[in-house]
Amino acid sequence: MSASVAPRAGYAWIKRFGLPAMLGAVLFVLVVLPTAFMFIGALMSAGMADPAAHFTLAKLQTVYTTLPYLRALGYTLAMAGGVAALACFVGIALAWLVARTDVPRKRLLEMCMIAPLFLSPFVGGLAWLILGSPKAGLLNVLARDLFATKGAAINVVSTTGIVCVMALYFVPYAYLTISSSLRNMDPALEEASYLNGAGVFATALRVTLPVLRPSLISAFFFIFVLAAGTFSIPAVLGGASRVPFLAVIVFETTAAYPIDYGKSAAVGTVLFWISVMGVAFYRYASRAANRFVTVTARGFSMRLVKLRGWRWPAVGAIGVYVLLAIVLPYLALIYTALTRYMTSSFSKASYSLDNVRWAADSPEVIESIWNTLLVGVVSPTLCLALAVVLAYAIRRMKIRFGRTLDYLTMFPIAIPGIVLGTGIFWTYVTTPVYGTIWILVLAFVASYLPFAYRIGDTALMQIEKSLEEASALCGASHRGTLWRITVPLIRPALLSGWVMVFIFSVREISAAILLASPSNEVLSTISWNYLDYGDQQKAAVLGLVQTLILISGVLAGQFVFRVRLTQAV
Amino acid sequence: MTKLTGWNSTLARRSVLGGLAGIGAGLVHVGTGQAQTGAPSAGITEGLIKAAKAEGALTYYHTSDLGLTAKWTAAFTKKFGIPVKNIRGPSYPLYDRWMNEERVGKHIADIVQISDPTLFPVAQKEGFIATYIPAGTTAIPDSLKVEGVWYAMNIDFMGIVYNTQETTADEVKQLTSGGWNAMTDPRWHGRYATTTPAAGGSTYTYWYMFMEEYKAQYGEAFVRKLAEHKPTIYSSKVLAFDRLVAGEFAISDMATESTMTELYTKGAPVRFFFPDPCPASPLVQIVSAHAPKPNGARLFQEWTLSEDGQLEWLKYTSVLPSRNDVTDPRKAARKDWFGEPWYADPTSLYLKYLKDPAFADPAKPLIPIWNKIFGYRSE
Repeated sequence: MSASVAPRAGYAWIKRFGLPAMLGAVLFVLVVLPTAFMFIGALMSAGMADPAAHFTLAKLQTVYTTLPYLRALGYTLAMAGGVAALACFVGIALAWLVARTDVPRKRLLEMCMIAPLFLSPFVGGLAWLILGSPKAGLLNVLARDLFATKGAAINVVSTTGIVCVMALYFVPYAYLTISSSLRNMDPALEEASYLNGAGVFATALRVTLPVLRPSLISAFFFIFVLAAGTFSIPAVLGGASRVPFLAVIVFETTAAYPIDYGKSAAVGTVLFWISVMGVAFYRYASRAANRFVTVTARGFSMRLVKLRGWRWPAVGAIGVYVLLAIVLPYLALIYTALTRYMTSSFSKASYSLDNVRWAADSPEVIESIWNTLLVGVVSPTLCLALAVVLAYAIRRMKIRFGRTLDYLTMFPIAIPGIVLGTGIFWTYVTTPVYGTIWILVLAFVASYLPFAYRIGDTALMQIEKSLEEASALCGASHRGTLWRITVPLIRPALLSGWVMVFIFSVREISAAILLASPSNEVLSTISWNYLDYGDQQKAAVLGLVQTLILISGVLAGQFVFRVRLTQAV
Repeated sequence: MTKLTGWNSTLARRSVLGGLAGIGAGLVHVGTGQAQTGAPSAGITEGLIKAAKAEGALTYYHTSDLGLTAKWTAAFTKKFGIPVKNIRGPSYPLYDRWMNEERVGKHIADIVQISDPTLFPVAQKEGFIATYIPAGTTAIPDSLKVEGVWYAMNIDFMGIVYNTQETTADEVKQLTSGGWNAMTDPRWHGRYATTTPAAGGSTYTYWYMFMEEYKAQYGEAFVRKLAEHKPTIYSSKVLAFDRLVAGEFAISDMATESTMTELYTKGAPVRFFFPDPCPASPLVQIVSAHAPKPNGARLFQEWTLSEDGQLEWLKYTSVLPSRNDVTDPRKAARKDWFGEPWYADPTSLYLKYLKDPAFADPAKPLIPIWNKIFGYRSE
């Protein structure tokens, strides 16, 4: 009797105290401490290590009440709102074309639609700086040469330009959210509209759009939060045009004299509150979306809108997006990488393979490639492992404090990378982790845990509980059931999540830029260093190397692990 | 006419050393670190090399150009068999990061190189700078060192650069004959790019010269005229040069000779010149008191300040070496830009600020004033 009771008592203890305590401790270290340090930092007069530092409300008072920061707040809200609106507008149009019409080559188009996700926004920003600078941008020079235009045809270093470039890289998020809702929507609603004599556009406007409204709102706020916390594109494009953007100020106050860590943290707290509000709206809209979007058990065949003569123009419209988001930026990067100095005249450019040779021979670059691969493999693996344990413990084992743990796990979604980077810097600067590659792994695991957790949790919800119960009835422990039954069943979703976190980790710059050290330089940080030092050629080469790594990861996911990335986000 | 030949030049001695004469003896070291006394080291000895090799790779925090520093430190590695890990950053954040690391006991950097030595007194006070007098110290003028604390490796001049494809002959004539004031001409409205004084030691020096040192001659009036051009303002001057070369702008200032000559060598459409007075910016270097590789750090400092180390640097870039017995071989041979009819050395260097207590004020009060004038990050 004692032999059977002891394990039960042990299990009960683990479920009651052990597992919640362990998971709580992990989340405390990953999420709570860096956030706390950010808030403490905002209350300090100087860096926490400075012997003259003392507690003060001055930084918070300056940031929350003075005009320059309120102006930056206004700009950030307006720009993030603009990015989200534009990305959703394009996303819904593209999703409708692919999901609801007979546009040809759908699988290829769908891959094209999400392809910008596999590119670093920082690299995209750099490419658009080369393409769209008002006077010497390649596109402007081309427009002047071909059409004798006067002035700048496009200007990416303006507020509007920055919003448009950012929107390009957020369209996939809108596309994936909306296309998923479109696919799950019962076509009977649209059929009824057609039967009542409404045309294609009237149906789209009066039936499809209202049904999609909640998921559209959820996509809007999701992109809004991500855009508000994005540092790389506004920093690359807006640095010289004085566009005040909070995420850039967080970085600049730690990078330009007089360096002010307190102010940086205080600005970080503003971004934090923006994100918290954005996430609250997002979650509310997501719940509403689940309530409104009609998912029925019965099978249905989707009636596709026949575009007839508009089929190829529709492909052309999608092609324009692909051209702007992928083709042109990469042509610009390749051109830049092959020149000795930047010039907007193709014929007068001084071409050379020196930059490519430099990248191949440079120990710094080779080491950063290894570091990038290391964080690219370790971060998603740890992230997914932790996410599965959390999701299983909270949803299946129903451990104590499950709701708190669930909330803490999703919490980093409200912390922009640059803010989390500040918190992690101060949390770990005195530990052996600082200066090593592992601090980046920690930052990336914390940043992307919500994505991994959401994927794991959704996959778990779709697994019939009876399968696990059968395993338990056969005497398997929770651990055995998780490993032998649950994980194999949710493997496709986990692999998709792994590839997504791999992509995010390889291209991440916001947190990494504050945590870079001699021993942990990754491609994104040394690329930033070269750009900051005015060497666009080397930054472009490094951006291309980073893209090759991302594409290799995506192809491996697609063809080796049979991952459907369109289902992962 | 090329007049500057290392520190043997009469003009150089007058412009640099003479420039310090006005500062009282009691002020000489205020704000730049407390000089240490003692005999110079024995230099690069077999014992030092052996001990340094046993320690392994060095970590070098530097603000100089990434690419050329990598080539230069590779020469050190080749000579002594000790790898060097180069970490580059703008002076102020790099210094701040090093200070943070030292304060929390994370000793990573062995050698620190920045462009503003007035930051060092705080580090010296907190015990983060090793007292070390290298053997090469006797060849370095007093103005370019605080004995036992920091030593300048070289000096870079800052002038005006123009894109030859974006300027007419008439404009070039106006620009090159009018000194600094030529930049205030309305023709440069919207065609001029500049860099914030908050970017680093050299950019702060540049603006400080106009706004403080030569207040009577230039002052805020001059700066306001430049601001009226509505320039594009960069956070790093090399970014401005990059866009100038691409054709985005016609002129820019703070054109450092090292970057300009690199662009010239690549064939970029740039010309540069150095009006009077010419702000000069040194690269100064210290040995970290808690260097994880103390012998390697000392060996590196010795090599940096040796004739060999300075000549090696000149293979990759053009600067004025801090040693008075080293001259750029290209200059002697009148090669490259030294042989161009438009090139002229600066005639009067502004280096007084290196030991100016007002310049050393850590609050850098000039930055908010400048920000206000240019409407840049106004607070």
